[in-house]
Amino acid sequence: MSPQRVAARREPPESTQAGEYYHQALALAEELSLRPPVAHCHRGLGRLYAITSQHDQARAALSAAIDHYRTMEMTFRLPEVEAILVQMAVR
Amino acid sequence: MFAEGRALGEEGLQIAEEVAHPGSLMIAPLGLGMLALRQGDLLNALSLLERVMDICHEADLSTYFPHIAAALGAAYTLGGRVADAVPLLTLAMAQASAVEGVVYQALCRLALGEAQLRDGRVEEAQALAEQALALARAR
Repeated sequence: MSPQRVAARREPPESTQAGEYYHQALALAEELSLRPPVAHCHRGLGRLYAITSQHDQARAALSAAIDHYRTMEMTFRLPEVEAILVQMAVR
Repeated sequence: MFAEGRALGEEGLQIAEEVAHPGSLMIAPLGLGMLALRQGDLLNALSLLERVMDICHEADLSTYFPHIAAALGAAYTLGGRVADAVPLLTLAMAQASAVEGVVYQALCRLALGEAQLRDGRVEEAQALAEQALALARAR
């Protein structure tokens, strides 16, 4: 199977639209200074990038989410985000 | 940021307790419960929001039910209690629709969508999220 077909199989069919929604939400949250939603958007984008094998973008987005969560003492989601980063490092 | 909100909320709750005003005794812990939920402090969120729901029923303040249920349902989902979240949010969504409360219709749909997603019902979750988005954009 060609690399393109492997990638196509891995990528969820609506990942582009999901990314657009996350970017719209992130822009709006930043504009309105809604810091918790900003953190959640970075987490969502990071997960999406990880699923679609865009590892550099995933690491950047997940690291941003961790920074925001730690700054705001929002510890609930930290283990999930850190686990994704660890999984990516192992691969 | 959360600490400032919590301090204000606790001050509000203290005032509500001093004057023993049922509505304020519900609204003050609702704000604190929502703050705990936003921060991901699940134990405090559940404790506060369940207390608020009890007051809502006891004081017959049913107008607030969709608002409280949206927050409590989201807390149940966050804690993995989807079986508790879905019926609560379904009822709240119906009540919000009956009184044409657009904000709470959107919030209940969003929370119910997250519960359905957690339960693996992706199509239902997507439909609810799209409805919530359409309601939000309409306003």
